[in-house]
Amino acid sequence: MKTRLSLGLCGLLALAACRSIAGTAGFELDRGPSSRDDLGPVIARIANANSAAVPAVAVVLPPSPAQGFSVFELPSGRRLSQVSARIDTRPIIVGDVILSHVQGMVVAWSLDGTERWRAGDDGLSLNAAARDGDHIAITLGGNGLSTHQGALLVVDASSGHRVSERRIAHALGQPAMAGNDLFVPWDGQNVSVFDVDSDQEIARVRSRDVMALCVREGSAVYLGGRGLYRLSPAAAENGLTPPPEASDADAGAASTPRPTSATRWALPRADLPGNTPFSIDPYTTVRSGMNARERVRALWRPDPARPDVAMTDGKFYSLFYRALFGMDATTGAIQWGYLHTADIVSAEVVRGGVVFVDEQGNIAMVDQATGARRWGTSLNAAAQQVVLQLPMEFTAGSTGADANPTSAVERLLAVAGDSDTRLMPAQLFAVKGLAESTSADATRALVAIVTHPSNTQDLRAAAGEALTHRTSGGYAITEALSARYDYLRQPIVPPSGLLARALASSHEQSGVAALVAHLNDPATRAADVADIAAALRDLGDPAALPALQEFLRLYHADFGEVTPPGGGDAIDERADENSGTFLQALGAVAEAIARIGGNAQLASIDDAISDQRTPRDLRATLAGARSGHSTAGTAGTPSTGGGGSSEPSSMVVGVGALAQSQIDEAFAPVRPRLLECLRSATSRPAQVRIQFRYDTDGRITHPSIGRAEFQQCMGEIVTGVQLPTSTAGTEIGTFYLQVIP
Amino acid sequence: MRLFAIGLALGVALGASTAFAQEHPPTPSTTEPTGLPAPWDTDDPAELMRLFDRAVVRNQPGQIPMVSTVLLRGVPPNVAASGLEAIQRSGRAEGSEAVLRFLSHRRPTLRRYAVAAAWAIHTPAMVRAIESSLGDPSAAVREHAARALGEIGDAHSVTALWQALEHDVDRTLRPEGSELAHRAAVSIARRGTPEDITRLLTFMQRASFTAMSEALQAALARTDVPDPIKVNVINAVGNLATPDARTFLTDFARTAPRSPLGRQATETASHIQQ
Repeated sequence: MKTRLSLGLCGLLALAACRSIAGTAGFELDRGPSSRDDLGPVIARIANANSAAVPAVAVVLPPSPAQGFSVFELPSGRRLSQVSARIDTRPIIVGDVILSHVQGMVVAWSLDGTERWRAGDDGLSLNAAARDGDHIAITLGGNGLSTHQGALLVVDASSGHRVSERRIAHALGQPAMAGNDLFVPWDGQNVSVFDVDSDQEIARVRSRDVMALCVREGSAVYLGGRGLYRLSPAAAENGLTPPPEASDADAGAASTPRPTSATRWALPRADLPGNTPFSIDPYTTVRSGMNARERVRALWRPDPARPDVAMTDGKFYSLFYRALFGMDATTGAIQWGYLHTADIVSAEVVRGGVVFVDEQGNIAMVDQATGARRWGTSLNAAAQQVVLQLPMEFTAGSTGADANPTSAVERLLAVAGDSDTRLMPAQLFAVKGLAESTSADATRALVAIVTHPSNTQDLRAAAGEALTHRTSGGYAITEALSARYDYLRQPIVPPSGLLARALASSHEQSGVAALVAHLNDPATRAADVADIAAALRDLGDPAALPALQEFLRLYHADFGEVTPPGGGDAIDERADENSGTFLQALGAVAEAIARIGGNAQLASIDDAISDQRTPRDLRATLAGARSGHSTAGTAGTPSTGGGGSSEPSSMVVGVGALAQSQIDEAFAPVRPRLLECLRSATSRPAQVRIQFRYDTDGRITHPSIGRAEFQQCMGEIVTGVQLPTSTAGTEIGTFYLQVIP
Repeated sequence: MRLFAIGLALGVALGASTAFAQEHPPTPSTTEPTGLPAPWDTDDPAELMRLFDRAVVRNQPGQIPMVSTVLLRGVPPNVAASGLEAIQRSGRAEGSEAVLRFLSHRRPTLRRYAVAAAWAIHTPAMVRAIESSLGDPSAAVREHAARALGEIGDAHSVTALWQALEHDVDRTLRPEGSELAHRAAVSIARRGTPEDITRLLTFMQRASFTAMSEALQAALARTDVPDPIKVNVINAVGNLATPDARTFLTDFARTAPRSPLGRQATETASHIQQ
């Protein structure tokens, strides 16, 4: 009996010894997800697990060809140590230990730079690590989700003694530890929970959502990949599945935000600059050295003090090289932008803001609410790559704070107006931020972007498009319209058409006089004349009528050639604009007259229509503009007249041109195909103007695309569009393809 | 600064972006057109051009205003050119309304005709309007305006011409320089004060000699410019010490060989190697 007991005891001890070194089975594919009851104890332990304070440090890798790294204490910036090892992976900081990979070994250093231990890497890369207390969990592999090869080590933090070790045919992501519980995501769908002491897999989470990372923050553990779940009873109840609104088709779209619920948080907007993913891929090792993925990132940090899954300060952030944006974590609304003087190589969220380090070794913190700098100092060390470890309640003092903080609008404008061409996505994003603000100052900022000649066409188009939706700050638009072309003083033609549309949107009556001045300015492009006339029409101020009528009178017969002063060959300087664009402009002028004026003003349109010198196609255009506003007969009778040197168009006369809404409706089904044509464009405009001719049967011919590079692709699509029938004869139509919504 | 004829009964104020607009804003007003009396109510371009000719020949009151009225009703460009030419030939201020409106017409050619007509009318308002044309989008119009101001400009015009010269003198890759700078320099030399001529000499190093020589000739030809200033001109040319400078001085000396200035020019030229 005694012998059997002894043998049994020895066997148990031996088994325990084996388990602690070789590990028991885990990661079995046939193991199903744990029930809520199974997860309950795990969740309860998380809430009660002690959370050790972590030292605030920065590990700075110098620019090549220098090797190794330096460790700095924060916020003092005091250098703690310098290590000259030839590391090849981005260092990982776990408490007071720094891990990296050197020539086939995982190496651990103390913060003072002394090497603590080394461990073989089994031929795999160091991918990620987590720590609680005396244990460090390390995942090896790091070749991406599709490479099912990895190793999971649990080691003693001080000695490196291996507590457990597993070599498995799975891809391993970012683990987390809470007490003795170790959470390991693998193969993109699973999270295994291990008890470190027993080395048993004690629970399993499986999700249709992506499982790539586990994050321990205080008394909570979060899981996720494209969205974040808090491991909680509610989440366990739902089984960590995405809300029903998310479609399977979105599964492959990394930039498509999935709906947020109380148990799940995802990026609330998909248009972050640089198509920023939810996180840096946790299944792929980040190498040491400059890494663009670290300079174009979404930044977020869950707050365990807030219920369910919520972000610290209710914010998340987007980093794009030198630009940083703060946004509402629920709505995605852009609240501020910050433009730094150098590339930001690393950033971490803390309560109250974002701490970042730039490539010159300057470290700073910006406020979560305003983006104003609250603190700043220098590490006096150039940085190619930086790893930060910061507690949630990091306090930095106020040294280096902005002495004269600017407003959120001014900061967004600074981002938008920067001359660094790499920052174009951030500049466009800043314009969106201004567009989302309803303040008059934001309108002024958009006007500044539109009218600044050094800004790119795409940026100005985006700002211009945003201006057309403004409802406040119209005075800024009027102010901008006060500038007119002058070769000596103002050699850049202001975007009067765009400003006109914006003025009309904001119903700013004070701009009527300025619009009239641009109407009569010979430097105003024909296309802008149409926009100006439309704006005057929409503003409806009778004060504009005399100028509109005079404009129509002056140009209704201005077609043909003229001999220059002193002799020479006759020339027609207006042949190009008269071929279509200006006719539409005159039509817009007539429409404005008809809309604003009464019968007396309609007479001026009638005079132009009945004038034998008015080209027939213009007569049709004028009649169409007039026809909706008077029952006093119709004009546009075909005429054989029109003597002199002007040659009336041979186009068939007709009335009843299609309304713009009819054209827009006909083009709506082909809009996605038209947008496809922009896919290979080096720069995407805010809108593309498409002009064409159409006949009574609604057939389209002669497409003319505003950007020549799109002519071939879009032209074919445009000619296939079927417009409604009309009595127009042959008309010229325009469709504006809005690219930026 | 180019002033744009607004043609509004309201007299809409122009943008405050330029000093010239603030000082002299021509605001031609166009009243609602009434029916034209015969034979002016014709649409026949040829007939209209004959009427314009007759208006000039007869030179009777009321004729040129009819020309102006016809133009403002809108006519084909060749008819407009004919009408503006008639106003120019008449030189009558009654044509000002149409001239002011056509100074901001969309056709550069018609704006040139309008500048010529304004030149012929040369009232102070026309002079101001021509000054605005120095900022025209068309180089030909700008050059024509600069030329006109050399004939009818005043002190205010000279200020505008300086702006044009300063702007253009360094902004061209043409070896002969910018046409606007050339004409502005000549007009300054013709209308400016002795101080203006002295200031012109400071451009000798910046502008091409081809552009400056006509201006310097104009300065030397003026009878109201004191001789010491002309001596400075001669010396400044001599300092260039180029074959073109030598030719300039020699040609000038030939016009007044026995005068002190002529002898000065001869001596200065002699120091320039051939």
